[in-house]
Amino acid sequence: MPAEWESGSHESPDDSSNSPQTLELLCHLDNTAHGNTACVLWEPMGDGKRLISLADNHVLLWDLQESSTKSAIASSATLEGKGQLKFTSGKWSPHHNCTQLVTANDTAIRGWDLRSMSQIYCIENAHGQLVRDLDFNPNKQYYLASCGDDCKVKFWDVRNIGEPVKTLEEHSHWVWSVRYNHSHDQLVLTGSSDSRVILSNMVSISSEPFGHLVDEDDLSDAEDNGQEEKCKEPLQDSIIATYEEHEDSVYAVEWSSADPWLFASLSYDGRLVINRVPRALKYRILL
Amino acid sequence: MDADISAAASGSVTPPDSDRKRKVHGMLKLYYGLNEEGKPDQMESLGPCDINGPHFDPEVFLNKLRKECSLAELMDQESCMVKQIRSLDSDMQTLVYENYNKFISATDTIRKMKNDFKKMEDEMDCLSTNMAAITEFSARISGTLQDQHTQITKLSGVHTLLRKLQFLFELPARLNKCLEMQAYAQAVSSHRRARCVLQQYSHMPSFRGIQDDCHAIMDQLAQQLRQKFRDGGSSAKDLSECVELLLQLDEPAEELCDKFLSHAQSRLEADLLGLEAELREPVSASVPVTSVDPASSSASKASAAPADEGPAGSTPSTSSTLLSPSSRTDILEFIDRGCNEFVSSLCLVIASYQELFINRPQEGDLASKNIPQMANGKLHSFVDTLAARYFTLVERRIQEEKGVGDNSLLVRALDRFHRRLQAVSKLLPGSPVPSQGTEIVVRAARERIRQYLVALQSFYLDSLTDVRQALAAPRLTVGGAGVSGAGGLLGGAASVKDVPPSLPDLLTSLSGSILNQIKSVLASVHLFTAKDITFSNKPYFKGEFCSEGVREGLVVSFIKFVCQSSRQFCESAGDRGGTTPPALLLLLSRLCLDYETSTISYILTLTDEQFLVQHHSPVTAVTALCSEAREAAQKLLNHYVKVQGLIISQMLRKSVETRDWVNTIEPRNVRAVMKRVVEDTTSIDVQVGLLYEEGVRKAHSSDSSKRTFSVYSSSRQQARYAPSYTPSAPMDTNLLSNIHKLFSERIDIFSPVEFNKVSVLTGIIKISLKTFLECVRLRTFGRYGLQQIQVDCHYLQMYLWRFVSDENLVHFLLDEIVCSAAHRCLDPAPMEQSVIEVICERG
Repeated sequence: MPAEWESGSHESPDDSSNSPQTLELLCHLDNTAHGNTACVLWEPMGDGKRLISLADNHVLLWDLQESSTKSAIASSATLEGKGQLKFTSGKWSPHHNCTQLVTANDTAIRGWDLRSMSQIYCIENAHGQLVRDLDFNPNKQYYLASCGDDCKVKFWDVRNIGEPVKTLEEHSHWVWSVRYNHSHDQLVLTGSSDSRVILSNMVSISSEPFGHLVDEDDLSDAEDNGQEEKCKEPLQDSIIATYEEHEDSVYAVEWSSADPWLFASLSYDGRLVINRVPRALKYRILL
Repeated sequence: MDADISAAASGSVTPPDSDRKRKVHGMLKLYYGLNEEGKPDQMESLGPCDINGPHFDPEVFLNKLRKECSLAELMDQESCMVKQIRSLDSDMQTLVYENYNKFISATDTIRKMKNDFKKMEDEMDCLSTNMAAITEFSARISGTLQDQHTQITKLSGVHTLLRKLQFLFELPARLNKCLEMQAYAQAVSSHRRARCVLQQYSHMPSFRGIQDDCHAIMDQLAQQLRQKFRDGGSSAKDLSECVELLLQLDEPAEELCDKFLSHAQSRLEADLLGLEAELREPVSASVPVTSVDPASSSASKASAAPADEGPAGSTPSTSSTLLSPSSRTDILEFIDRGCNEFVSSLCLVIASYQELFINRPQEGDLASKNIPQMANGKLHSFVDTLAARYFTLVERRIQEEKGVGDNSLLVRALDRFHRRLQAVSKLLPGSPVPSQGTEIVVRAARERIRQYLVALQSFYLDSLTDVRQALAAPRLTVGGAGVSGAGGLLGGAASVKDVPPSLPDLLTSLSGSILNQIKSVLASVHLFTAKDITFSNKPYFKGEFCSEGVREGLVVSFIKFVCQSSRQFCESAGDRGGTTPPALLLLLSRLCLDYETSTISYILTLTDEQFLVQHHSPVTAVTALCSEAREAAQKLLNHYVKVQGLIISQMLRKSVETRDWVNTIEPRNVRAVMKRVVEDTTSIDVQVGLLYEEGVRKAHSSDSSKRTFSVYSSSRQQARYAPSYTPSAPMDTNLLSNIHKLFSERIDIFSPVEFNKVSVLTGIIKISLKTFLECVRLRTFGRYGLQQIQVDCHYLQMYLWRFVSDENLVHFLLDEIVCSAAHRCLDPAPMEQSVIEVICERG
């Protein structure tokens, strides 16, 4: 996939307007030396001056100089190992002052420190098969979601990489995309080539307090207890909804950056479906 | 008249009196109705004419006579009457005379007596005067003798006192002598007799001396007795005598009990130490013994258990390294030794102790000391502590008994152990020892069940390893054959054919051996509940052991373990990428399915029958186990499909990813990968077919192969659209494919499969083709790339339809692949269908 196109789409977020503007090439990332680019990542919190591209087994950190017209490789790292290693996807962590990057190649997930451009952790065999996508929990700095060809979605605490914190196994084919909701990180969206989009509610590992804060109305009497139980009940991890509008493999899912309750999914047949988080759940989270 | 006379003669009764009396008499007779005198008499007597009757009336009689009789008769009557009167008169005269004579003689006698009495009176007077004289004399004599008598009494008193004193003075010497002669009993009784006196007069120096002497001697005696007691080698009778004497000597009973017990304890502890030594030595040595093949070791034990040569002969290697004979003592010998040495001597001690201290007849002041209670308490605590030590030893020994080969030995040992403890319970009714012993037996049984479970599990895992090896060995030869066979489909199929027939054999042998193992384990465990085992009638062994232990703890747990471990194969393999050979997965899934259908219920019925399980507590139902087994089977089969699908997927993926599809040459052949895919699918088909039934497929006509072409024409149709496909007008194809998809069913790729061959194959092919599809979508194709895909898909089409339940599925997925390739094609110019067919048939 040409890098220019990718960067271009990032540059023009508001082309939802009716009159499509013609895109203008601002900058060319010269990556001929490094093979096919798997993905390009903008610095999540920065001023749009830095971006990372993953090409074959290279991590390239680009710096767009002043006018955003010239690009230069600020630093790079190369993944060494047996056989032909290729990055399949990556994610730039919004935490830690944007100094961390996580990449996936084959079945392994690797974390990188961008200051030293060196590997900081590696989850070998994170998935039984290829890892397809990664996403950081926007509110919990060590939490990471991954999905792959073993039909599973796994949630990791990168401080303890021996075991996934949680595993979802709801899809019946490869999971291509996983996304945390930007503000309510218990909402996790996954898209799969079984042409389904699944919205799950992962309360137990979200930044939202799990259960009520019990210390205030602390077990005054039995009725209160009963109420508490009732309150706790809907807070179990659960599948909120399975969207089956697509007729072909779903390759991308994304939350709206404007409305936290809106999300879109795109399938192979070119169908883009926009859905809303169920109202009941929305109120339950808000209230 | 005659009657009157006779009456007057016999008794002096006056006539009116007699008359009245007769009347009264008659009235009485009338009243009582007396008729013993005869009715004719009465009749006659009532008549006034009866001359002898009471109502005789002479006038009436005379008148009657005169009226009735003639003169002659009257005359006769008169003469007869006169004659009778005369005889009556003479009779009366003789009577009067006789009476008179008697009267006269009586008068004479009275007169004589009168004279005699007078003489006697005189003599009596004389006697009384004499008696008075005698009394007087006797009084005088006693008066004179009074003084002397008192003196004699005094003297005799002094004499007895002196004899007592002499006894006292002689006492020390006597005691000494007794001591010398070891006549302890006599000494003690002598001393007891003197003790009070000496105590009383101890203020006098001489007595005090004696007392001191006696004390010294008695102390010595007590010392000797104690010594004797302490030696303890003497017989029980001696011992009891000893104790009795010591008790009489005011030796504190408590101390004696303690001493006795401590003495016994030292002996028993020696026994325990012996046992412990035996226990400690084999710790290092018992391992090889138990690890010896159970059959041979059990045989050797059965043949010559006590002899050391028996096991040595069967296991020369161990015997050469382990020279100490104790290393070979099995548990039965150990328990035997424990019983014979420890338990029996414990029983002896208890018995003699009870005889000495508890059941002794109470006498005198000893009774008040409440010895039995105190002694009993001591005995109980003594027995408890020793038994506890013994039990820990036994338990340690039992714990060492890890080899599960020969259970009968353990059961016999436990039985003996338990049986011997019953003796203790008889001797010591309130003791907790027998119940503790039962607990040990119960624990041992529990432990045994656990061991059997572990053994079963390891057996199962071992046999799985065997199966794995058996599967791995031929696999290599298949690979070789496959390679040498130049990838030909027929060659591949043939090479596959000679190898996997072992699969069903492996399955039958595996399930058979597991079943046999279970049966033998059940038989071994069954020994615990045999009739002749003493503890088998304990409530635990009747109820809980059977249901909780054997059924739940052993059989159900094992079945659960089988399911569990099968499931683990799926989980671990999923992460590591298939370390388990797929054939094993298939085999296990079939095994689990067999379990579900028949084996589980068979095993449980067998167990219930053998152990007569009465379910006091809720037990796992057969159906629950069956569903668990089915779940495991399902999971295994699903996993099998996944693994096999993955293997084929990987081939397809590599083949798509590594090729430069833009710059490829015009297709002349079907790619080798596709042939390999078909080959592998065929071999999988054969493999699955060995264990699973064919299954149902959607009906298709006999000329299915032709129809495949006709259906495939839809993709040709699509291919016809393809030339018009340009980036500017994508709607047509999109719309078409979308409409097409709207009407086709959604395909769940990794969906559960059914237990039949077709379903399994369908699952595998679905996974493979879907991967193919997704990989194709990630690539960009040139014109020839697309054509190559067309050829490949057609080839797959030709061979894969026959494996699946619904061939439309294959068609649909292949269509999708070609379609996607066309989408991703820079220069979509599809190949002519006829050319494709030619290429495929040539391949």
